[in-house]
Parts: sequence; structure tokens; C-alpha cells
Amino acid sequence: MKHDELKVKILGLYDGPVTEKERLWAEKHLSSCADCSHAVEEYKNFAGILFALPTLSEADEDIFTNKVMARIKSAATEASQSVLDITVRWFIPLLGSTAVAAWVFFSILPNTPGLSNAINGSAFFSSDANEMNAAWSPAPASKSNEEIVVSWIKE
Amino acid sequence: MGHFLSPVPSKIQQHSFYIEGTITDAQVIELIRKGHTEAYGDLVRQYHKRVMGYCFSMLSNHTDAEEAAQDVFVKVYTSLNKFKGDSSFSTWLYRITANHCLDVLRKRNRRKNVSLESLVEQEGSQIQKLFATPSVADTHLENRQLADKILSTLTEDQRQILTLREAEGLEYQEIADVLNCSLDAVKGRLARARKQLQENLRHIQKSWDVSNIENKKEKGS
Ligand SMILES: [Zn+2]
Repeated sequence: MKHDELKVKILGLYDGPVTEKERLWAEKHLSSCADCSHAVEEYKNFAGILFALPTLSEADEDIFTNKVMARIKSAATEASQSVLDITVRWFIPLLGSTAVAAWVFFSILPNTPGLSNAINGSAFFSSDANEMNAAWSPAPASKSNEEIVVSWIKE
Repeated sequence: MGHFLSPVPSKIQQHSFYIEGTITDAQVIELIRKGHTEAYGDLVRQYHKRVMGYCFSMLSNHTDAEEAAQDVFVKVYTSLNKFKGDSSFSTWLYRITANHCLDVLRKRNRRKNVSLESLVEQEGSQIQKLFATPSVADTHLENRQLADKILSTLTEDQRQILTLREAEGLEYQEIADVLNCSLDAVKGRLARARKQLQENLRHIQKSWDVSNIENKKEKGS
């Protein structure tokens, strides 16, 4: 291994998961090689600068927690509000119009003279069983099929 | 440096569900699932510093970091039912935090890309100062902005793995759990990211020295 490569790898040996043998080797090398120990120190120095963490107080923590809890609460309120909105905007009108349609269909139309006969070709609303049978049975043929065919041939 | 996966050295409050040693994250989550929403506040307090620290290291800006950390905790709350306990809660939380910050960073980097050359040109002397006098290198706004510019010369993935290791002090295996990859992959990726950072810093240093010498020559002649 070239020494430049070693200088990079020594960091992994220095702080990574290594065997006891590797750890001892790294320690020994660092104690005898000024170049590598300088590289490790230099890296630790600039990593400490570049990755410095913010100082946060207990007050910061409380303020932060309150903000998060407020956001969660308002999200929950919004969600329940939107369920209510959907109920008010769609479900209630839908239920109302279904009820009106059912009332018109079952109560008004059957009792309207003329209208009931016109739409009740099937005598759907009729309580008279004979009328219903009459409505559902096919119209009686005035001539049989054979008679019709014979009359065509004659023509 | 904080350690993300180990419990926070206790700052336990009177009202807290966390009474030292008597309740675990899993038990607090169970309480929340049973309707004790307020227990989530304790979970937030427990992990606030580490999530905030991570977001800050990735985004280098207090306002952005706080917004991101809040987003993370809201996201975690709404997906708490998806947490099955296959990993520890902190690993799961860290995964969500890491993904969220990566998204924010990618969106941000689409707008600004920092080249080494422009960095040397604009901030060379400041960078020299930053590393020459480490005592001033705290979280001071100017230094943070400078650190952000230097870290922006890395890829987002390199910055992520370095943040997990250098800022949060996660062990290699913990990083592997968070990033869902093998231990060998972590070793390789971390070594490459460190090498890249060292090279970038050396490049900045060299370019600054060269331009400084040229400036002095121009002034002399
Ligand atoms: Zn060496």
C-alpha cells in the first residue's frame, strides 16, 4: 500500500470497527509516523470545525417541542375539519336528494292520475293482480305465424 | 460530540413519561398509540438535540435546520403506525431525518452549485482564517456559512455520511443501519468522503497560496 493511501485508510483504522491486531498496528504506526499522525490530527481539527453542533438550551427545547405539538394539533384539526367539510358538502345533500327522489318515486307518481298509467306500462304501481298479469303477458297474436307466411307466398 | 443512538444523558422533567430507567421509547410509542398524544412531546424532547444537530450539520443554517427538524417530527408522528420495531426507534427516526435533509439539500443544491475555484476566489482568506484560528470556529453565523460552502463542494451523499460520523458520532454499524447498507459499504463510502474533503481543503489551501503569492508579486512590481 502506498503511503498516501495509508494516510486515508489510517482514519478508518483509527475510528472504525477493526480487529485488535489492526488497532495495535494503527497505534504503533501513528506513534512512529509523523506524517500520518499529522494527517489524523489535521483531519480531526477541520472535522471539528466543519461539523460543530449548535448550542441548544432547555428553553430552545421547550419552544421547539411546543411548536411541533402545535403543528400536530393543527394538522389533526384540519383533518377532522376536512371530514366535516366532506360530510356537509357531499354526504348530507346526497342523502337529502336521495330521500326526495324516493318520496317522489314511491308516493307521488303512483297517485298521479294519467301519469301512473303512462309510466306503468308494466303496471308496476298497480295493486290489481289482474292488471299486472295483463301488463306483463305478451299481446295476443291475431294471426298465427304459419298464416302470415302463407299470405306472403300468395302475394 | 453527541451520540445519536445512545439515550440522551438525562434531562428529565417532572411531567415527563421518561422517568429514568423505567420507560423505553417503545413504551412511550405504545402510550401515544393508545391516545396519550401528549407523550409525543416527551419523545420530541428526548431526540430534539440530535435531530436538530443533524439538520444543522446538513443544512448549516439555523432557520432551515429548525424547519426541517419540525417537519421530521411531524412526519414521524403521522407515520408512527408504520414503525414496526424492526430497528430501534432512534435508528428509524434517524433514517427519516437523513432522508428529509437529503431532499432539502438536493432541492437547495439545484439552485446553487459551489465550485472549488469560485470558493477560493471569494472566500479564500476567510477559509484560511477559519482553520488557522480554530478557537473562533464555533457556530457563529459567518463560520457556519463558510463551513456550508466548503461542505457544498462534496456530493450530498458524502456530506450525509460525514455528518452521521463526524457531527453525530454514530458508530460504523449504526450508520449502516440508518443508511440500510453493509458495514463494508460504510467503510468504503466514509473513506472516500473523507479523502474527498481532505483533497478539496488541500486544493483550496494550495490555490489560495498561489493566488496570494501572485498578488504579492503584482504589488511588488
Ligand atoms: Zn504513516
